[in-house]
Amino acid sequence: MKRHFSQLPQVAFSILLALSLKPRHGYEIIKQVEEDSAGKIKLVSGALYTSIKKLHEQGLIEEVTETGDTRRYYKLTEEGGKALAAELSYYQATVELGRKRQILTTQGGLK
Amino acid sequence: MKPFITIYKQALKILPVVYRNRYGEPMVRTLEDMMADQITAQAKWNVWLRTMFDLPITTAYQYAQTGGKTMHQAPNYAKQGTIVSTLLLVPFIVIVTLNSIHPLTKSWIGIGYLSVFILPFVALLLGLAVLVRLFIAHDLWSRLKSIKQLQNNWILFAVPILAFAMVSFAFGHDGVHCITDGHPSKIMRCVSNS
Repeated sequence: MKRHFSQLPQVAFSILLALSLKPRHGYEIIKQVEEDSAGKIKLVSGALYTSIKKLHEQGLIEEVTETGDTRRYYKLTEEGGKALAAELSYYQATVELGRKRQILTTQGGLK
Repeated sequence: MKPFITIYKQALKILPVVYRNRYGEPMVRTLEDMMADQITAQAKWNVWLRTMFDLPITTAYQYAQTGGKTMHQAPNYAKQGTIVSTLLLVPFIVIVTLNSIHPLTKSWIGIGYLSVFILPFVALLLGLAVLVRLFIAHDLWSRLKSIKQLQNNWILFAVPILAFAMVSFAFGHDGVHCITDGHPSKIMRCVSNS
């Protein structure tokens, strides 16, 4: 099935973005998501693993088997990387449209 | 910190077993990491509270998901039976809610018996019929032997149990007139006096 733009919920998108650099365990994901969103998204373990379960079922992330740590690590799958890239290009196009329509300034703020 | 983690571990038991087996341990570990990373006691307390408040939402969501999966995998007659039974219970909820907003009283008498007694009773029979057929056709009994399977199939039992509760409320306590005629604030007193 063809993946459409903006199919990912905000938290799922943020988790994929956090995993784009390297495999991470639960708390590392939470910290990275908080940093990436400038403190706007503050996850707790329940919400995190609800999204992780969904992403795992969709085949967008997978568990890392050998980590040398007792924590469970997750990484992006190839499909997850594609979904993230599609989502980012959608956002990029949307931001450019916002600028063209003079809703956004070039710095990204609202006019 | 340890008592907080122990409480959280115990609280995780409300999650569906399949989900808990898979994600329970990482959830606890994540909370441990989060709390260990906080400097002040107040910050640790805030993290713990946020996590605890999130748990009922996660639980409800996971139960809804397991219910959805059961319905997705269930045979057509089970899906249709459960949907129809649920719809039959709606008038009961509507009539009680409307009576709570405004005492509609007398005007509801005619359809009151139908809404609060007959329809839930039909829903109960239909729900039970679905269960009996599932038990016979799919050997549901052997699948439900473990608590895990019972949790996974909760949705099939929810409607008959709810319908039974409604019928018991209306019939067992002779409370039909209390719901349909009585002032909502007096429903419980009326039922207990019936």
